[in-house]
Amino acid sequence: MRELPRIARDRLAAGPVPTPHLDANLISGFVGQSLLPDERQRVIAHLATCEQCRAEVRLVVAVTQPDARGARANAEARPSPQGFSWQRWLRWQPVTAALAVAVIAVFVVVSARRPGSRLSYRSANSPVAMVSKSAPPPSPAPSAGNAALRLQTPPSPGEAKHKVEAAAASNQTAAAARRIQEKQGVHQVAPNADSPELISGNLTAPKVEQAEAREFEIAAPPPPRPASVPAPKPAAAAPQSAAERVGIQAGAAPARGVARAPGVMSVGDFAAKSGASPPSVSALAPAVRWETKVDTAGAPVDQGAVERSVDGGRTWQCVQVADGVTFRAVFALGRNVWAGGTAGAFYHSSDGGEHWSSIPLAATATAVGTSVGDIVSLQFADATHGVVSTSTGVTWTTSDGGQTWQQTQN
Amino acid sequence: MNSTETSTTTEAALSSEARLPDALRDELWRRSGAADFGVDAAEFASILEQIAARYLPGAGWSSLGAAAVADFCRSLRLQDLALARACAAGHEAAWNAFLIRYRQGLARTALAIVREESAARELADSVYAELYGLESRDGQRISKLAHYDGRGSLEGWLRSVLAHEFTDRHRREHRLVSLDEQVEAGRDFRAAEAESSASPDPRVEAATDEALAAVSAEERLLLASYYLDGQTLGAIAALLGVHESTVSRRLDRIVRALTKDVVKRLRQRGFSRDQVREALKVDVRDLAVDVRRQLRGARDEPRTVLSTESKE
Repeated sequence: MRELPRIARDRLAAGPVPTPHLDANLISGFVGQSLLPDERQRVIAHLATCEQCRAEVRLVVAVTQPDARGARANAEARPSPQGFSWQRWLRWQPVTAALAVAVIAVFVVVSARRPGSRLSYRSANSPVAMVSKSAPPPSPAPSAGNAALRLQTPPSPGEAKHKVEAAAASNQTAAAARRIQEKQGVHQVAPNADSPELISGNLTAPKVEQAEAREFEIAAPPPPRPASVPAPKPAAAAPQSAAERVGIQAGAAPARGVARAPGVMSVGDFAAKSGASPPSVSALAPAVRWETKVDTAGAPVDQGAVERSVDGGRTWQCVQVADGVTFRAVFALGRNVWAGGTAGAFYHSSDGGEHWSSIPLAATATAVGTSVGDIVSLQFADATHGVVSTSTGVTWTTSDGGQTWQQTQN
Repeated sequence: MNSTETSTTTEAALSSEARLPDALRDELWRRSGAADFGVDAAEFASILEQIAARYLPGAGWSSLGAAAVADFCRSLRLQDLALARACAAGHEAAWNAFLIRYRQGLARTALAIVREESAARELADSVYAELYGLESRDGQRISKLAHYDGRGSLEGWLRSVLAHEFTDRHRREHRLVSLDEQVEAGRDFRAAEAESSASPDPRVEAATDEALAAVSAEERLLLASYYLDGQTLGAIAALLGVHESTVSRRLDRIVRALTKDVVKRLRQRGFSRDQVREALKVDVRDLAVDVRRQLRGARDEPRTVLSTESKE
């Protein structure tokens, strides 16, 4: 900084001290920047010549800052302008870090778009990879607690209410699941290396006009599954419109808010579908996704059906769970899959969707005199601890795999 | 500026026609939540009128217009104001609310200021006692909260009160320290104050004063904060609500312009270049000299000129 001539400094300090001094109202107004413009100018004029008030204002500014002690220390001493300054270096550190993150992000995105790239595949299998099934870009997630959730189509005004309700229910479910995990000392819903399967969830809005599905998934490491696992039997081939599948068929990374389940599909299946020689399991384990499909407009056949994709979302198969039920939520945790729908219909499969058994949630609700409504969201921390939200605003929790339920009114 | 002390005459000048309109009274009263603390609309409007009369320039409001008064009143922290004035009036629910919201913050701020727990507690307690109002005048308890005007947040006002109390105490204690204590503290071994560099020639002082008078108030505040108080650029930036680099650029520009102005005025007064250089010599104590760099550079540059004039 340029030096001020000594005489100027002396004359600057020699000015008369103005009185009266600033009172607490003006000082707090000045620091809070809530004074009128001319009033602020008068305060500045006073401060320019009053060392006493400057000291008070300085103190107030220092303790107003979040790190009051650090700010006060900073306000009291000025480091030497010469030589290396840690403060100066630290001042630029966030910028440097941001640039580094941006460069890494660009590198990852570019790599992920390269088909066949090992990095590309791994990127697509990152813990919270989002994919979009439909052409429009996904909407932002409703909340941080539901970060993996993506709306697939922009909601119409008529849908908005349902979507908000569903998102809220999902948030409640996630929060309750987190509480259970905390009690158990489980910190992540995502399976770890010991449970190398996938978690896939689905959240659908009731009675939407267009076919839509919203889902999220949490990735798991590639599983060391044997190649002899049979492929699931599809109940019916799900119709795939061009609009629905375009994003995935184009070869882009799965863009739907979906988790992959690297363990369900075998290497042999992959080779058969792709026509290529089977690469290593760790590199090529595809994603298994679960979702429900709500289509009240044009596809009554698979309305409310549970769908599964074993190739990362390229193709989808309807999975027969139960007749006459419109499923609105599905959640997978390894080989365990749960599906919930209208009138409290709730089913569980422990073999990746091949066999399903009913869970007595509706009966429990009836026994306690509560209307169970439709299951709109569900989430499990493990095979026994789960949370279910219903359209009636009730959250049900279980800690024994669904044999008994406790309700929480929201 | 000491508004609480000088407000009486201004308030007296408030004419009856300058009362807040009824609609505005009701609006502000509803927004303030004063009803929760038993302050009715008329009482709250009276408080607002006193505050407006205190801060708005001029003895009345006629020249300002009703819109300006309304804007001013709306700019106040109405909820904080209602709470503070209800506390000052001794409303129990208001005190409970105040304690819940601000007591801990008061202690934290005191600790941040004093940085020593027992002293911080003492400071916070003394301020709290003033807020509650221990002194009585005509049998009435006078609470310091009655002086809060809602210009900034109540939290900020409390910080200001604490800072004021702390600096006051510091000055009082500093004045009361005996000479023996100062000797024990080694204060009489301090280096003697350097002789003022003020030139005996009054023309230099006059030229500098004229140049400083031409500097705006904000620029003068920047100069005083940086060169007199030794504040960092960051602290000054926080004070003025601008970016640090802005402060740096402005300071550099101000000093350059000020020096140039002083030189010009001295030359107009018949000073030679050498005399100007002598008058504006930089105090060696202010130079942050990097000796190593200077010595290294001396091999390449046999002569280094430190004259302010030559920089210009």
